[in-house]
Amino acid sequence: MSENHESASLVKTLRPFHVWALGVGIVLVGEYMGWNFTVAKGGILGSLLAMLVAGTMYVIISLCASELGAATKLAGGPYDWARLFIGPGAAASVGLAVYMEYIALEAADAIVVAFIAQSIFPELQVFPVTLFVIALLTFINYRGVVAALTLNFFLTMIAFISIVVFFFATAFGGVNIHPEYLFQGALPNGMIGLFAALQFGPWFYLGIEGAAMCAEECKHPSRAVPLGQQAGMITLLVGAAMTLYLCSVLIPADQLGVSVYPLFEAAQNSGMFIFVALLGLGTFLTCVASANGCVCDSSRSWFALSRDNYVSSWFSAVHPRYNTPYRAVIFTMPVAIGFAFSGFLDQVITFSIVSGLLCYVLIPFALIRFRNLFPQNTSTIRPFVSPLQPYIAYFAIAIAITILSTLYWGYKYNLIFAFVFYGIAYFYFSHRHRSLNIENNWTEMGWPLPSGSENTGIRKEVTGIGDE
Amino acid sequence: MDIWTVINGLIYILAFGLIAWVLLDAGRVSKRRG
Repeated sequence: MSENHESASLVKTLRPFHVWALGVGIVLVGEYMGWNFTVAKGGILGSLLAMLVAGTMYVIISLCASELGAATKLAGGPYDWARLFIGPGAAASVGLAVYMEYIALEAADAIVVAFIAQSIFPELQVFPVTLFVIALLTFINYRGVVAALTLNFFLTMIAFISIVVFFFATAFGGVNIHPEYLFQGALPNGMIGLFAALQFGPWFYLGIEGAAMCAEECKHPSRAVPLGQQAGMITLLVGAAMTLYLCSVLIPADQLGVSVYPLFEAAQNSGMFIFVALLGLGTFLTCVASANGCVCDSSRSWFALSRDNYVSSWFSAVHPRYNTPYRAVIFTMPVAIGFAFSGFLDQVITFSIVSGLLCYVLIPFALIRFRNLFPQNTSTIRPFVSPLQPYIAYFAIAIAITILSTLYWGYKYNLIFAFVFYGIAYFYFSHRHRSLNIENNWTEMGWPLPSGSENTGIRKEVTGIGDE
Repeated sequence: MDIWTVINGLIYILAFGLIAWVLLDAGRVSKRRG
């Protein structure tokens, strides 16, 4: 543990519904917008395939994250798992990837909120509203994680219920549907379209792994993390299926592929004011909830990086009254504002997806290493045991690499830039960490020595922090 | 000056007010810690 680690610690107050709210709150915006680009590439069938393939990957990732999060109970999430079970270079790359993934999403969400507000009140300016959203969410997260995630719970619940109500009203004949749209836009670009559509599949679920990042602030992390995260994953799978059905039968495929707010547009096509109002409200609230969750997750990732001296330890201070990583929370603000007004938002979002996919390769890999190092299934080491591991972890890595490779169509330079960026981070932090010579042991976590630790020397690489 | 200029101005004031509150509190806490 770092010598500069502050004496105050994060407060343990969160319950499973907060974990659900954090995970689903960040992701649900992807079901309100963004996922429909799968239709532009591969038609309705391409979108269905992308939803199923990405869904399979995310179910496995969330199982891996639940097992790792419940075992380690640390705020850094994927960063801490990579640090403990892979090594410092991978840890720094993942920590930065998580930070970039969430901070870019926060900026995008804040701008979308401002544009929605402007579409309702045309005289409102985008700049002050974006600034206000970022400042307000920073303020709420600064004051306390319970208030921030309780707010997220209500916002997310309203947005999800809006989809469910619209779905059942449509399914039971309350809305005129057009089944012919399904066949007209089934497969416009042939088999290559099916493959190309995969790159937008993650939009349905992007960020659910972040639910485990509040593990250090949970009352009972061994129970809350797996319960909240798996419930979140089920919610998203149900939401994704409902969203795809609703949009496919209410919007022609050629319009659906380029729609900005597909669920809202589907509600408009239903011709019923109640659904237009409900889905409009849902679109607005889900953007706020996503930005709110992103402030929480990106600050925890930066806090964890700082606590282990990967970045300045100045950011690892915890507020004595609110028990939040207040400097890390404040630091999200200028970065998000910078991203929001950079003018390259589409590039920033793509960078966010590439960063996420990098995490999806390394999270299952961390689980495979965890299983190798600690094969014991005791409740101290592994409170939640994920099924069919490590075989499904290998499968998730294969899917993540496949989706990553599809980004070559259209986002070649983003992909190259991301690999160069994270490659430099990997080698820089590996070198820096060696020069810091941090030595710690597993006993701080209440664990035995890992199997084969005498030979691998992993005992010296690891920094263990706190337990329940 | 129309009403929307005032509203946009108020949103700016609110945003900068929140930023100022957070920064002042953080400065106060940091100073207390020495």
